[in-house]
Amino acid sequence: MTEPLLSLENVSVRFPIGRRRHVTAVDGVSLELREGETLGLIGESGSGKSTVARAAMGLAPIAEGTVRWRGKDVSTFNAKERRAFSEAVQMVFQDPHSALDPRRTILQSVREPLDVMGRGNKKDRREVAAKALEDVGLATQMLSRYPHQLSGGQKQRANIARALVTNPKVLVCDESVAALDVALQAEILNLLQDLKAEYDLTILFISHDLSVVSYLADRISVMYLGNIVENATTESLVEQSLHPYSEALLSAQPLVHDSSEGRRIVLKGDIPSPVSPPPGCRFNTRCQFAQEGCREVKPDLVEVLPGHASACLRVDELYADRLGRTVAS
Amino acid sequence: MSLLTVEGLRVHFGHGDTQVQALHDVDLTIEPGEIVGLVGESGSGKTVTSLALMGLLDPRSSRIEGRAVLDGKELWDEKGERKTPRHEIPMAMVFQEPMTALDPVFTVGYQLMETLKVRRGMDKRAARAEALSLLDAVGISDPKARMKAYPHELSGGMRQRVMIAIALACDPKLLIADEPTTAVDVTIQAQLLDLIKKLSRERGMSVLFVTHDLGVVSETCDRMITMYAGRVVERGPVKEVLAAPGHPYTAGLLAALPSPESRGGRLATIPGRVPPPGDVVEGCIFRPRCPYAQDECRTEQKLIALTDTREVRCIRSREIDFEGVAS
Amino acid sequence: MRILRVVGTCLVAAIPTLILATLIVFMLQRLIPGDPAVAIAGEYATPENLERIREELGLNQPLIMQYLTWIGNAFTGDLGTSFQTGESITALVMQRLPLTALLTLMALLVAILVGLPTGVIAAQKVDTAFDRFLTTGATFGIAIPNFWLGMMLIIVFALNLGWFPGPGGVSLQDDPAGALRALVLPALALGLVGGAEICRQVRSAMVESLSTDYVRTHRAKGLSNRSIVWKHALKNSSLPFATIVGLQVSRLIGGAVVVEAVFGLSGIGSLAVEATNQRDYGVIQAVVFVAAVIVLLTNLIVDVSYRLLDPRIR
Repeated sequence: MTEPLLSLENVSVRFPIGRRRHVTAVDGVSLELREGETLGLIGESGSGKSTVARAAMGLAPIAEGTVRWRGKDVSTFNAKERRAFSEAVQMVFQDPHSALDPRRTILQSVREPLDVMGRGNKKDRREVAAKALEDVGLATQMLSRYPHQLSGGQKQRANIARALVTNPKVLVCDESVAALDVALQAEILNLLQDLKAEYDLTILFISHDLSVVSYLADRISVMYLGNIVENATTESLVEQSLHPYSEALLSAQPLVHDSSEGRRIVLKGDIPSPVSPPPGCRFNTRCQFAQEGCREVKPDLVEVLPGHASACLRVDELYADRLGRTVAS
Repeated sequence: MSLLTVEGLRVHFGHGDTQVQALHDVDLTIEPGEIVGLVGESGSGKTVTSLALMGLLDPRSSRIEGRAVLDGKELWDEKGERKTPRHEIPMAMVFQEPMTALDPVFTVGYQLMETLKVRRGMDKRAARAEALSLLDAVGISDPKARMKAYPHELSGGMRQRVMIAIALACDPKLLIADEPTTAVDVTIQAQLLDLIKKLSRERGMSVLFVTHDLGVVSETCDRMITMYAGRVVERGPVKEVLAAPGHPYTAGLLAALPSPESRGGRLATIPGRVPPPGDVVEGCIFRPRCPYAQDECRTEQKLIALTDTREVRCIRSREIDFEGVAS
Repeated sequence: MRILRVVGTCLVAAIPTLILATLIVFMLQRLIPGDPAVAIAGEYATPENLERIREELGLNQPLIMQYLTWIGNAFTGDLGTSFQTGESITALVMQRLPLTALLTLMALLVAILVGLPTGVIAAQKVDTAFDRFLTTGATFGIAIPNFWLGMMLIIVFALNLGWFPGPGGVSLQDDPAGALRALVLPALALGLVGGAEICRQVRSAMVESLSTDYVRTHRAKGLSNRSIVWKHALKNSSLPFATIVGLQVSRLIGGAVVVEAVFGLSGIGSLAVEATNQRDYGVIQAVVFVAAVIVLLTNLIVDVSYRLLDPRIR
């Protein structure tokens, strides 16, 4: 197997809250981003999915574990390597409105990463920025406009263009279409696929919306309360999920056709606070299959089918049919 | 008799030369116990419609025309001024943002009891008892303790339940729910949708469910109304409309939805933008974005009946099946 | 319990501020030319005599020792003796303080009574002629110096109309009712400017509160406009209100010095002016100390009120 482009090994991220207390936003997460793929990271608010993205970009304090770029530990990077890394991994944020400086023209904002790096002369930088803006489908007359003169969709295009000017290998999209209406969302999703082909991008796509992730991603990781609970190809996850939380998430997604009535698993209560997560399996407080053992032992993420991993103690007995196994009684 | 009848609702914003019309002759009816979805993108006029019905548009910057009757009571007179005092109209509203829609410096119990005192003339003791039973009815565990809680001490889902309890305190025959689940997680959304359906069923309460999410409409509503640029463009039973939309805009919204099945392919889009209020479009308002537009679309389009229960504002609806519908 | 802990924390935090304020005044006074020993003994005193006076007053010790002795005594309620009269400064301050305290309180009352209602009403009528009239008026109000306002009030209400007594001759101890009456004009002169500032602050806070989602919820519930404005929006605006009132207290104490002079009132402000003229260090220090304590106590009350008014602040 080829070496992953970007990988997280057992990464934990903690943030201090008040005196001598901290919250573990990400708890021992391992991820592999393989060259050319789109990896979807899905989870509800408080699941730690955005923190994983920031950790992958070196923007979050890593308490434990290692982030590797092309196999090399990023914490050992020298200044030059660090710069190359930060150019190679770019982010597109959720809110298209606040991510652009209202006092700069679109061209200035998009050119900014190049200005900061001092790459080439001013004319070259302008050309690179203009090319990126053209690639995201913004007309030339938009270059000299200010953010308030653009629609939400155009602003998000400008944000994507800004992420592209450094010619990155990896695009991290954090809820990049969540604030958009469905028709605009479709445009941006189409655009991301076009750009992926044109720029040879690898995409880490973070979202709470399962329909968007399952449309775009090749593989999906499901997060719950700082842990990855399931890891699989999109098809395998959608058709034969092997974790009760993923199942609930899938079934809660309202569908236009074939109503979910009857098949729907409605989880009780809210996600517990990451400040004091429940012992054992983090999902046990809301899981309809939770048993005594689930409250004591924290399950590891185990590959139960080829390329399909689940972190559930009862995976063998709950999903015996899907695993094609007989339950040992 | 319908619970709600709205005829020729128009809303203008601003004054004089800068005045723009946000709603164009919106008609709608809601039957008792019915859940009606009001669907559209931002700028479609769905929120303006619900705020107008609730009397929450600022009279200093807006003007209402048309007629609205709820439960036999006229909501406003010819001048658009409130005719029936608000607390006598059996209507309540749940808003999108549970974080900001509750008063941060008063307890949940206070906000609930205050509503009961105003709307139902209860004294303190009766209001307390009723508030507890309402919190219980919306599925809040340990209502006694929650009465003393401030909004910031509750999760988003809990706050939205409190919002629903406050709405129920108004004893509404019509509940207007404006994107009530847009700001919460999908597992919480499932809880809230179940709750709203259950309350509607138990209390015979009608719901006007404002949303941009066709999946939510499909799972929650009996009928749906699609709005575009301040106009009703299509209405009918949810299952029928979603199975075979009669307006190219509804069809476009459906086709733009991503799903695992459409992976690898391109999503259908609707080119262009919703015209801002005040823009003049000749003929059908959707014509500039419509892939099916012809010369005959250059005339003003009226709502035409497709079947007994379906209406659509498109002259070509009978001759074409609008394509690109994900199935 | 929570409140007690908050009070404790705020008190501890206030002590360094208090020490710094008094230390600065202490040092500054010593830098001003002039020797208090000379001031006491007269210009033709013998060197031995001067030395004796310095020794008695502790003036020959290092500055820092002088300060430490003084601040230690101050915290136990002993503010020393006046160089000029030999009286106990504590007694002197206690004699003058009630009048100033009463004046400041009355002025604060004026400021709130003027500022709060006008601010709330202006917020409800944003961008109407009434709102513009009020905000323009408030801007003028802030710009007017209070000594000028004081003189105008004397001319109109004391000299021309004769409704209130003119400047001077007030004793709170001998004639409380008369003193109260005599303080009306000074309180107006002192408080109206503060009222203008409170008005502006309350207006902008209320405009913000009234445009929030929860106010829309209250309207949807069917609450009366009066209840929405005067109960909900006002309570939500109480943080900026408490802040501006807290700020006003220190402004008023500063302004009292001027207003007392204009109205010939023998309060703590005029005491400070007299002491400065006579280079009576002990008295000046004492006045600064008392003013600092009052300002710090006000801040403490404001801090505690934040926590009482807004449940989100812990």
